Amino acid sequence: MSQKRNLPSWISSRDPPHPQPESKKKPKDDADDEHNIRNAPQSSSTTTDFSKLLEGVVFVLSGFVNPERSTLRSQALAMGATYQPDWNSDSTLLICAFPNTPKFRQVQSNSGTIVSKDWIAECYTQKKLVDIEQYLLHAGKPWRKTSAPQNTTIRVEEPFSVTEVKKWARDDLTETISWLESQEEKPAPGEIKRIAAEGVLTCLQDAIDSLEQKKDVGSVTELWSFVPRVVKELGKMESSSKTENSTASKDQLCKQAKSWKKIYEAELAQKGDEEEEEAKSRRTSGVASGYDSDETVEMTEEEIEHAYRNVSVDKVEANSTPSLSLSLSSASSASSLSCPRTMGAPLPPKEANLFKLIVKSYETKQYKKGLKAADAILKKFPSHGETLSMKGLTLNCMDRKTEAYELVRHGVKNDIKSHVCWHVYGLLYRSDREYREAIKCYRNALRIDPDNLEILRDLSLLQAQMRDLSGFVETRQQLLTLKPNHRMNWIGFAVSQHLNANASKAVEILEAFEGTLEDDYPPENELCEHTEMIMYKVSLLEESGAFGKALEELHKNEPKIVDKLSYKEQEAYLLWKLGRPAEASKLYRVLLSMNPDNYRYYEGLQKCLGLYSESGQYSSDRIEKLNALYQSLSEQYTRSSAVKRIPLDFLQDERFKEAVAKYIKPLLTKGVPSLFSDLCSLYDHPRKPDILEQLVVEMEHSIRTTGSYPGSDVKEPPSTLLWTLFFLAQHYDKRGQYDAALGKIDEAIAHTPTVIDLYSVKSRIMKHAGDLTAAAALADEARCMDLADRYINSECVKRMLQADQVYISVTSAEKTAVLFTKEGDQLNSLHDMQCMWYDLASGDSYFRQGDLGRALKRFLAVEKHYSDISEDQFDFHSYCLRKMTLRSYVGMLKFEDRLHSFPYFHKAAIRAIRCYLKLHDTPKSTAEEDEMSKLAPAQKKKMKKQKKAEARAKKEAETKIEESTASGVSKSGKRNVKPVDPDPHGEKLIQVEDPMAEASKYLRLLQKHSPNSLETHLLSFEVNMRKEKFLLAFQAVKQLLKLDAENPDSHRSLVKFFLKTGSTSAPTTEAEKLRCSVLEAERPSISQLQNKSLVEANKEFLGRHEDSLVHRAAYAEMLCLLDPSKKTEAIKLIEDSTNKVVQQTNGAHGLAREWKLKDCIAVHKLLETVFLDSEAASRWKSRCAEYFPFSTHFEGKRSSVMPDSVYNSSLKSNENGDTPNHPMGQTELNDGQLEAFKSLTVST
Amino acid sequence: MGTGREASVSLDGVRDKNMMQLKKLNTVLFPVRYNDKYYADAISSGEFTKLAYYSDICVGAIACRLETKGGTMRVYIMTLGVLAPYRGIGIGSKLLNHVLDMCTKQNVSEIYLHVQTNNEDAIKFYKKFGFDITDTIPDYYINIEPRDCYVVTKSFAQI
Repeated sequence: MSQKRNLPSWISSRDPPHPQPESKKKPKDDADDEHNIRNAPQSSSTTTDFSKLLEGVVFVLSGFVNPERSTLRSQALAMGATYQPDWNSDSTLLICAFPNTPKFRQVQSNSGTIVSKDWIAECYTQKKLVDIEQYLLHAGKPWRKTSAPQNTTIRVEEPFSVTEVKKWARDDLTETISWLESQEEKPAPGEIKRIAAEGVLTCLQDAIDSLEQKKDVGSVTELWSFVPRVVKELGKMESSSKTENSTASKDQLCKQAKSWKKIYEAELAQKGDEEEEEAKSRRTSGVASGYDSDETVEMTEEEIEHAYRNVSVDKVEANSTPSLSLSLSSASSASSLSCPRTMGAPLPPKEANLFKLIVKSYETKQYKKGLKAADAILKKFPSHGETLSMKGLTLNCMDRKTEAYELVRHGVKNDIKSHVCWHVYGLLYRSDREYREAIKCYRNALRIDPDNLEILRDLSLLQAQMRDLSGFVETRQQLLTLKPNHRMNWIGFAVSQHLNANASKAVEILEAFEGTLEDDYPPENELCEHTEMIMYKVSLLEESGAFGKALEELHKNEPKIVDKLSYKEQEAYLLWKLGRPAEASKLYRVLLSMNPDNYRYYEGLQKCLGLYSESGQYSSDRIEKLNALYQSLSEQYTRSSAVKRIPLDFLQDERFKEAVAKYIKPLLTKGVPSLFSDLCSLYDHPRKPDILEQLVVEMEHSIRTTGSYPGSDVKEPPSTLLWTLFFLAQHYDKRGQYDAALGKIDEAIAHTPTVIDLYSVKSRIMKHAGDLTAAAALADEARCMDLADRYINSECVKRMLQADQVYISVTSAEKTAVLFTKEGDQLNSLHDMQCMWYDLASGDSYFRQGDLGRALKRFLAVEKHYSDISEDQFDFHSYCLRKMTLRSYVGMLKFEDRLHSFPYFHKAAIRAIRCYLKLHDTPKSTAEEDEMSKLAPAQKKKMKKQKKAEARAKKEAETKIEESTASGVSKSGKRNVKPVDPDPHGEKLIQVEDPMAEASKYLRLLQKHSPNSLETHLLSFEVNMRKEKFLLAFQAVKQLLKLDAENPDSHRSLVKFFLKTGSTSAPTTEAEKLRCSVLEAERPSISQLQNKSLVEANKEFLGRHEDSLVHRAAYAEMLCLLDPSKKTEAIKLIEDSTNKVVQQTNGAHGLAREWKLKDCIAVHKLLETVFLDSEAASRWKSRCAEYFPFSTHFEGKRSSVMPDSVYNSSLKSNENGDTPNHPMGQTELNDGQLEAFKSLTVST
Repeated sequence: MGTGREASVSLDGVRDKNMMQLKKLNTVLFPVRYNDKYYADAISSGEFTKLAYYSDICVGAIACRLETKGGTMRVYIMTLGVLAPYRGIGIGSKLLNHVLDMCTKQNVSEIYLHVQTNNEDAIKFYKKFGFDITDTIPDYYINIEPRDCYVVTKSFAQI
């Protein structure tokens, strides 16, 4: 039972497990417990009788469990206190483990005094009465019985009543005034009261100061010509206690003096109120009308004190806005009136109060008020550092950044020893997301005030944000050491250890914390938080591999866990992990009965039964078993769709056909547009698509002829045929049979022309077939059919952008895009919504059209969104710890860590790098002309038109901005006006000095977060070759070969690299020599090269992929590169490629061929721009036009570039929506059916 | 024609946002292109213009114009039609019944329409709902044969 404090031995400050940073080093002598000693009496306490230290204290314990409980009790009893099990009228002191235990609240409402156990422990170890103040959790009635006489300490109770002291204050004030008025140099009449009050308070403060320094009060009274009553009283008390000659008495006296001072301050402030009122009314009438008169500028000391206390205790944790509760001690300590001001010296009381007001105003966002107070102080003390800093901070919130930085820097300079200044400086940086700088500032502040909780807490948030994990652990540990009675500090420390990859340590901490809890914990209203903590602990145990212990913990706490679902899921998982599949599978079945559509439960069950494989490949034996399992499950859960869908993944051939037919039919009948997407994954299987095709074609035929599914008598509703056709269209689209797909979708549209999905799918088919213009027109048609549908609107915008209709046509993409944005700043609002698909698609479009500035702008916007997302986590560091949403919090942090590996970022970064590559390759001045000269005349015209449109749009935008700023000002004053983008078209972006340096920035992110992407290394190769960083380029080549050695681009890079490095002149510098030797050493390790020449390697590459178009093209390109004289041979090789027909089970609907449209376009571009053979290119084009009749690129005869196409932009379908595919009048008016009817009218 | 199961048919009003549905229907149902006034009248008729949805697919519509004549309200059915595959399952009746209900509720004096003289199915259909041929207008249609039409009317007894 030698436990001194409630901290486990490994985190006690005596034996720190981590080396303490320099700032925290303490002199050796008070290493025992530095923070207590600072405020405790310094002298020895031998004079006090240890066994009577706590005489008269009747205490109650709350929140402790044994053995701690008994330790505390015996310690307190040893010091003379009396123990009571429950709180009653006799009790004087509650010793509490942490706030808000039921007892805590009871005692609080009885206004009893509550103290943390550390006080007892400190008193016990130091063998003296330690100052209780800083251990108080709640200050109430005296904590010691008054009847118990104490000879060791002065009586703590007030010897004079508050009203009496108040009277002194009033008397002192009047007397001081009359004294002042009797002087020769008297102050101005308006000022006299204030100065008198200040004088009284200053004199009192002097007395306090001298008491604190263990000097006599008498020394102060000698210096003052007028001594207030209160100081006189102090003097009297001092002399009366002189005989006992204990330093403790001075402490008590000092305390007494301080409490009197508070009364005085309140009283004097009130006294001055009447005048202030008057003055205020005078002031407000003079101030501009914009001043809010309901804001009370002046507050009484009490109000300020009260508000301040509230703010500092609650809001700091509760608020995510940068809060600060600066310890004001330095600012409020006094000096005499006549003292000359020095830098960093404390302020007189009046100003000190004003200073508190600034802080409070900042917290409550009443910036104007704060600014006023700051100016009032600065008028008198223009170089007061802390005020300057606070003023700066306030200005920062009013969007006056430059001034703010100036002031805060000025403040720090004037008072470099003030932690307040440094703290403010840190906050300022933090508000600008300059976290590294902010951390530095906080560290400086902590050097001055190492135990400042606010600063430590702020620092810990920054460290969590910056993932300075070891620093985070350290700060969190310090916070816990300082305030072990806060749950949040325990949790925070545990989380920090967890993040720092020390899950088992985190468990230990949580266990230590649990040790401090009472048996009846948690109270009703904290059940959820407690559940979360237990579940977090279980997940920690699981993470550290202690499955058995995790399960034990889970079972032990079952009654306390309110999240029963998580409990069961976790239990089932742990059981499985522990090799107890029978029990686990039972649980999974229970879970399934709760939610039979959760795929994870099925997966868990399969795992338990040993019927799970990661790849989805199963032996026929296991398929049998699986089938039986799902058969029985489907009988149990008839309404579950998961139980029907999952077997489609593992069943084969006939079984599959049977199951899929059973699955599809009801969905076609019901009309589920997403059916195809649901089954899309089956198309990866070699045989399943054929089975599906056969099946659905049979269905179509049967429904057409009999109105029912094959082998059924039940008549299907008319919509079944529609959905069957719809499914088939998507099926053929997926298989690349666009002709057949279009046939089916047109039939469906003729059947029911009002179904929007049909047009969307047709648009998609057109896109796949290579006709982007038609796709955009169709998407627009779909959009017009439901103007309230955001999804089809977005889809339409995307198609328009893909067709590069950014700003040319009337129904341009931008105009459509803003249809769903808020009115006002339209495209900005798209940006605010972090609409990344739009940024990417429009960036791509600009890139294709050669507008690198705008393209870059869009791609970098995506990057900005990602940094915003990463920024957004900041608020959660404090929120989640407080709200105890620990599992989600840690999950969120892990998500943020891999944020940049997400596809949108990956895409944006790749495209941005491509932009920079292009910028690098085209010299700035000539870039534009080049672009123009390369284009065909028709395109030139288009460009010009586009430029004109741009200019017009620019002008429009400018006027709009002007308007909006004008109206914005009038409406909301100077605030809320968005800063106008100074570079809306990215013109500045393309002026970048060194595009490759910019590219490298993004490349690094890609390399870090997407190391498995071929494109990452491809770009790394391109960038580093341009920068002539050959070793880095070589690294990229090696990565490419490792990822996919047979990829044509890998091959290209390999050949290009060795061609380039082989051709450079003999190495001259040391670095070059080194490089050559490295390459020479590495070359044999590349299996593609070994002892072969590049030409041979190229030939071998072709040998391995003789049938593949893309590989042939790569070979040909390299062949020509290695030996330009072989150009004809290279071109012939490409042209000799054959486009084979892919084997199809039914050839009725056109043949699907092997070549992909995008590869053919790439080859076309290769012929055009690399081989520079326009004849070969046009031969290639007409050949591909056969293969891809819908392709606009190859000008296929069914594409929209053909003059007779309905989608040709000159006669594009108008918004009346007559679909050209089924000309009007096709539907018969008088078809013979019984109730069919028609009423025709011509509008009159 | 029977159905495999009961599919729900529901009605919905016409607004700016879904007007294209009505246009699509009219494009395939009628050989006449309607002008903007038609659509404006339809929307302003409120409850008297409805789209019919067959398991969430828009398959038919009734569009009316409200007229006032001598202080009483008349309803003119501009169009009523159902897509061919969805005919014979009572959708047209449902649409017309809805409008007739609205007429009684709103004290409409009479409801009428024009039908091409050879459209016997339509005439038969309307007669079932209490409509009668009240007039014949020669050469009403310009582009289609026969060019004559009947005026088919149903009057509501005024209470």
